Amino acid sequence: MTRPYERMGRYIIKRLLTAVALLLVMSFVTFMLMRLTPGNYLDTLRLDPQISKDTLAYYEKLYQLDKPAWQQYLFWLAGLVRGEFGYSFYYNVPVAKIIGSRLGNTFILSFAAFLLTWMLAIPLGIWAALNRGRWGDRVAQFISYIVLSLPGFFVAMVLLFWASTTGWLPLGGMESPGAEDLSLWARSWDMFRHLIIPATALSLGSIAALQKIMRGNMLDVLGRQYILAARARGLPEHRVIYVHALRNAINPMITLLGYEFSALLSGAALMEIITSWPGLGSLMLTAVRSKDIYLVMASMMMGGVLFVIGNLLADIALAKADPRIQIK
Amino acid sequence: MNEAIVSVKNLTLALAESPATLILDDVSLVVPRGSIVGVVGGSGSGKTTLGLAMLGLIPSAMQVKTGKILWEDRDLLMRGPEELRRMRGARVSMSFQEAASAFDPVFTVGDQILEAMAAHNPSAGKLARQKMFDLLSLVEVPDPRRVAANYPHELSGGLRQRAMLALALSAKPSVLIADEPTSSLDVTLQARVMQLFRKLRRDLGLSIVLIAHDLGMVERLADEMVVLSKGCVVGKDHPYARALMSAQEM
Repeated sequence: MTRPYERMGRYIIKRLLTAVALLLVMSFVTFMLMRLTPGNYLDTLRLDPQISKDTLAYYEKLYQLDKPAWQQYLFWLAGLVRGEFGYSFYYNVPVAKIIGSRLGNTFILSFAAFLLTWMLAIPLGIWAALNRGRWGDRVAQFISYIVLSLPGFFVAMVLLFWASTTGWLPLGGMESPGAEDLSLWARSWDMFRHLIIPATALSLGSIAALQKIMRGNMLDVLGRQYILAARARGLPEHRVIYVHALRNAINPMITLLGYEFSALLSGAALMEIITSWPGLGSLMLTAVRSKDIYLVMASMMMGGVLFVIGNLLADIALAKADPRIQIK
Repeated sequence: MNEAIVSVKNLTLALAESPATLILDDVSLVVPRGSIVGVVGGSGSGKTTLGLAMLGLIPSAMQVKTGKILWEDRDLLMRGPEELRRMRGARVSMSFQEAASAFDPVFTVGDQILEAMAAHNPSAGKLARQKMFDLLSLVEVPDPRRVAANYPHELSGGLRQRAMLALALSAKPSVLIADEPTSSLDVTLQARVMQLFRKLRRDLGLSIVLIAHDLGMVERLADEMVVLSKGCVVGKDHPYARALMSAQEM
């Protein structure tokens, strides 16, 4: 018999190998899409009469734009193995240099929204399930339906409009001008104020959806025989609900948590663009539009890696949480 | 005859939303101390609901129209929820038809037994583990230490059934309501569980309410029995009871 952690280790290695294959396919498809669509970044430069033909030829050679697409892809891949992400045409710096700070900014926004969502939705779902059919639950479910049918960008615009009329919150961006000179505490507070609108708009829909899922799980579990059996042996009601029902109702949420983690980078893109949050999403939009191919590739790979990690973590967590699930 | 430890007097239960629909209709039942009383009926006869009512667990979709449920001469319908909770498990307990669905799937068998013990006797401390192993041995679980460390789904059907009996008995109740204790088991395991019930009555002085559709099994085990049909207690010469008997003889 193999020991559990051995089995787990083998499982993780297997999953990581699959992930590498997945990322290879994903990068290849993205690369080809970028190359096969007409035009490249140098076309913008060609329109500029100040740039000589020699310079253009130099750039073409430097970035392998004169070679066939597959060679260019292999060149990029070889760079990636060496830890080089390539060069951004548009920003005129190595990709690694800009992507790091943008990644951090996106993570701040996504993580704030993520925390807000889970810390509100789970207790709300539990509360709604325990008060099913009472007016509080009905109001919560009614509001959830309304929120669910509102697109996030619309919520963001309404909030921005409200902020512009009241002046209570800053209108987009991540920091006020001159924030670099503030103390750490004042600067954090400033960022927090900038964070409120995008984080709220980003999480509102998720709170409504997740709350409904949690409520449903909880109601499902509360109707199970083992809950009746727990009451029949005289367990205190708080243990019946918060130990037995909750523990079983939360398991399906763990899988969702993995998906949410995967969507941390991509989910915020639209909100970043609307609220001009300097994150990866707005960077990627600029990159795709200007055909800044290496920047696009790096952003895509970030998203892909996070997706793979998120799902793997969720599967491991679920296997730990539910003894009936065996990892192979 | 011994004094009654639990009795149901003229209990009538109806659906809360349509009070004309009776789930139990004027049902009476006496469980003398140390006896085995059978409740026989087909599916939908109300026998499981009667069992739950004897624990004070009346489903929220139902309401009591008339009647009393007496535990040692006090009506449990008159008691508060916390008092009822403390009596459940410790005075009257229940085992369920499907052992697989009566255990919480995400905790080990041992943890669930310890939890039930602690709910009624928080000061048991270190002795609790030994008591748990003794209890598992009592219900004829071989290798109690291993079974206690297992999750419910890791046990075989027969073992799980006995582990569930241990769980129901963990707070030393004087009455056990056993809902279809053998219907999910094969014939040899059925015989073993019936033997076990006789032993529990003899060794613990346990009173047992045996709820089943299998008239033959109840007749062999029970000191007395009632037949339920569509929520009513029917006599032995009632056509339904006679149909059950003749089905048995075939």
